[in-house]
Amino acid sequence: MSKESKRMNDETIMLRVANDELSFATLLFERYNLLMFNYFMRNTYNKMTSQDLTQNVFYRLIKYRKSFKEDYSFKPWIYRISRNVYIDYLKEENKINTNDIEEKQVADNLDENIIEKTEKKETEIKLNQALLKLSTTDREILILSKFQNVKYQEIAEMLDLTESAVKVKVHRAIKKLREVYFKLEKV
Amino acid sequence: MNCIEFEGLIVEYINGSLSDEEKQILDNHLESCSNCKRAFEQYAELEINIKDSHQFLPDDSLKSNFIQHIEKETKAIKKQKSSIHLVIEKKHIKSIMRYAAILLIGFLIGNVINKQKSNVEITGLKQEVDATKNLVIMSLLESNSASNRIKAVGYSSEATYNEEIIKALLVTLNNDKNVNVRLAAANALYNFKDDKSVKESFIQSLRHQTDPRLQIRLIDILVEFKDENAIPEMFKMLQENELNETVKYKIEEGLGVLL
Repeated sequence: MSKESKRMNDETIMLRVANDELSFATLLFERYNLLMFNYFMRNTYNKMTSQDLTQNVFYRLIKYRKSFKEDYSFKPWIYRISRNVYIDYLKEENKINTNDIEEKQVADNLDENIIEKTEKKETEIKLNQALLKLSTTDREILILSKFQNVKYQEIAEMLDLTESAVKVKVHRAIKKLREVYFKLEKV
Repeated sequence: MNCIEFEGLIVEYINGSLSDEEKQILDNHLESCSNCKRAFEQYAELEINIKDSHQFLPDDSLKSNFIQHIEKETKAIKKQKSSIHLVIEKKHIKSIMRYAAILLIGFLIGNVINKQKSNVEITGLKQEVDATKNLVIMSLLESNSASNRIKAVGYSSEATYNEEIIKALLVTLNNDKNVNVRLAAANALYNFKDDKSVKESFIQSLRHQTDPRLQIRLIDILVEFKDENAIPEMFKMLQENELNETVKYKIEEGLGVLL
């Protein structure tokens, strides 16, 4: 790809993919695969599953490319796909109650991926454990707004809510997280 | 503002979305409220930990698999597009043209037959349409299927008057194997009743017909025409031994009207 492609925005690229120029999708993959992968990791703490689900997202991006219209925003669109992929996964695995995910899994995944100092590792373990104690909806909204830095307005578009409703949800979730996290500290 | 509300401000402060004014209000409160100050510190710590947390990394295979997938899909698309081209190869063109011609004829006939639709007739086109219609009617009349022949007769009754069609209908009236087709022909010819030769043919046909249904229909038509020329033929029929009772009655009734 030429220098020209670095200046192209997501929407322009996706429209070209929609026009059957599939190789442009590689650009989108490079821009978004980590985000998507981490979204799934923080929800499942399972690397294999997260890779599968991420792949699914980009397969669907190709498959449903023609449904991406000219006036769409790309980020909410791809997040909506990811969310649907995750929900389909939950339905298939019947994992409606996410407390099924064992705490042990969290630590294992962190062992694999973290190179940093021990201290950081511990706080991170604690953070992830606290996240797991939240409800699915609370965790999801925090993953999006705090870990993935998705703006309230974009989250609103994705989840089909008003921006103020999103703000309320985020507040509620972060307050819950604080509660759980600092309780853990005391133990 | 109470501390619960201040907690909301703290969250938004961390988010970076407070105005300078709001920041000032918060600062002022934090100076005097130890609960909120602790809350602020905890939210800040949480934020730092979140921002510090690592990105998980997928295997390299994720990307290479996707690139492979793209290549596969691109090939599939090319194949689809080229197979569409194949369909429009030379050997198919004749069939396509044939179908197109049939469709055109069907469309033209449909337009002429359907009286409910608006009568937008292009004069030059009308003649061509009529000629085409006649061709279709004529060929359908030869069909092995009785229902097709009935269809043909149906079309012809709505056609504009022309000798060829009349002739064909008469032949059908007298010679068609199927009584329903003959009946249909009689009814179709009825529409052309103003034509002298048609009237004449009805009488002649009466001589040939043996099926009661047809006899009755023809008699009805002739009586309606008040065609006195039919009288001799009708008398003759009365003398036949095998004459159907209903037909006999019809003739007597008809004669009553005509005489």
